[in-house]
Amino acid sequence: MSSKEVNLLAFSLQQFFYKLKAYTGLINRLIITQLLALLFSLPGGIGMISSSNGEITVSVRHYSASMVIVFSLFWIATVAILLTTKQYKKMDMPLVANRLSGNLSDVGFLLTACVFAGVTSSLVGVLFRVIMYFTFDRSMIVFNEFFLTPSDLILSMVVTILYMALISALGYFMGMLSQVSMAFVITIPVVIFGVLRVYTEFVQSVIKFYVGEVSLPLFAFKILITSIVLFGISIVLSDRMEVRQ
Amino acid sequence: MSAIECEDLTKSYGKIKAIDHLSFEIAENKITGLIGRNGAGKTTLLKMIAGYLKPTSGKLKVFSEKPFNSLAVSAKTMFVDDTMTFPDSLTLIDILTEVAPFYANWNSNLASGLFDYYSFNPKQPHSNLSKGSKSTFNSILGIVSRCPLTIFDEPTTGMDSAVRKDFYKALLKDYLEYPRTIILSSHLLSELEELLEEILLIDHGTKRLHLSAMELKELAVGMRGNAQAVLSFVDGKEIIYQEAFAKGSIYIVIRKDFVQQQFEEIRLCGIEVLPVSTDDLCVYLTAKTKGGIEDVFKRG
Repeated sequence: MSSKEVNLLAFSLQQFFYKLKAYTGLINRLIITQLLALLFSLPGGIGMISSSNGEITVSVRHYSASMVIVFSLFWIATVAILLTTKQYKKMDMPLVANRLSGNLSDVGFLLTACVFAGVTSSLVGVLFRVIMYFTFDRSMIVFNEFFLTPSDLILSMVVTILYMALISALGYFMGMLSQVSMAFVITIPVVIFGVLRVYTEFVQSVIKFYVGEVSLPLFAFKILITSIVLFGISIVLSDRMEVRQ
Repeated sequence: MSAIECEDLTKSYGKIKAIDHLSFEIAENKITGLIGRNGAGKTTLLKMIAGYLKPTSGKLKVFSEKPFNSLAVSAKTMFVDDTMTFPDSLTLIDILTEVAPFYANWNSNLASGLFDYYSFNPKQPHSNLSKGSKSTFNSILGIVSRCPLTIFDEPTTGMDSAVRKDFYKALLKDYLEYPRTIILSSHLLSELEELLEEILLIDHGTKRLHLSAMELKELAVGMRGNAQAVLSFVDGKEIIYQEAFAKGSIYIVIRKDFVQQQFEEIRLCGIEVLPVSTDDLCVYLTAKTKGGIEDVFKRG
């Protein structure tokens, strides 16, 4: 039995390296996504407050690179769903693989992509500040939270990576459900929309459970457990599925 | 030891049985041809052997293990067909280098040799290849992976005749150098005849024949001549195929051992005794009606 387990790990790892090379196209899409987000956030800022007493008008534009992170979250969700599709699962077939090794290498790829996207989207935030610093009228900038301390930068990276992991696990799980039955493709959005509208208190408590967590270790713990559970269910779901064409 | 054991195997899609209580064994290190008409269940059977599909009932063992979702069987099996998919980020040459580490017996020298021989463009992505080139490229993977069980499902789809002949030669040469169990499914039995050691003929998911290629060649004989005379010899025996010609002439295919002793007598009656090609024989054996397509036109 032990030799088989070694085999599984060895082949999963082999597949993981194969996928790192094979899916570079997906990473290119992330870079495009982030640049697009940057372009959208630069010109007008994300919010504007204007007030006037008749003689003086004060208008404040609020700039933030958070749109880059939001876009990156969308990206990781689509990648996670994409990996569960038949087209991508079929790419495992010419390799030495079974369902489990395919899923493990997918998870490996997704987590690597999360780290990459988390680091780069935080760095795009820095790039954003640099561009602002050199192109805007500096006397008009309110330097509140403008200069990132390295520790803040690292914290933002870690938190972004954790959110990415959560979203990728969620995307992978939903993608796998839709592979089990096409019915889920319709029911999942309906259920999500319905729950959001009807059980607002429940949704808020769920969001608070993750977003409202102030302790980083506890936050990381919550995210990791949720992701492991979601990935685990996805793997169990897919294990009995046939490779259809 | 047998590479594949299959007992009472059934695979159904809803009410339709693609494979229906099929039993056979394939010995190790032989080239077996899986022959059958369109929709006979060839691909379904091969995909079950490769572990992609789960049998509905019955026993299927590949190297003494259940193949479905088995990593151990996957490591020993290469399944080649024209739907193999590779990521677009990988060029053809990338695919050869990236797939190689998965297979213990991979022969990179042969891979680059065949790759150059067919003059593929190393920078091309797999999805851009034409149908025939795709089949050719995939067949390279099948040959050089040197898996203990190599399955080719319609490997020659789209290949021109020169490439097909090269493929048969390359496969045979590498097989002689490195014997392994090979299963080929194809429509072109006449081309494969030289290559195959055993032939498994299936029809509607059931086994029709499982013989060595030599035995199949000797199995049947054709007789052509005056209808009355021919029918008098085959009276009461099972006729494999029958085709009527003009002026009361008839062509009949029958098992050779039924009429072996009477050949002289038959010839004296002015009846021609002809060998039947294995290709035709397989068509006759799996025909839905005895008269062939001519019957359809006669009815009108």
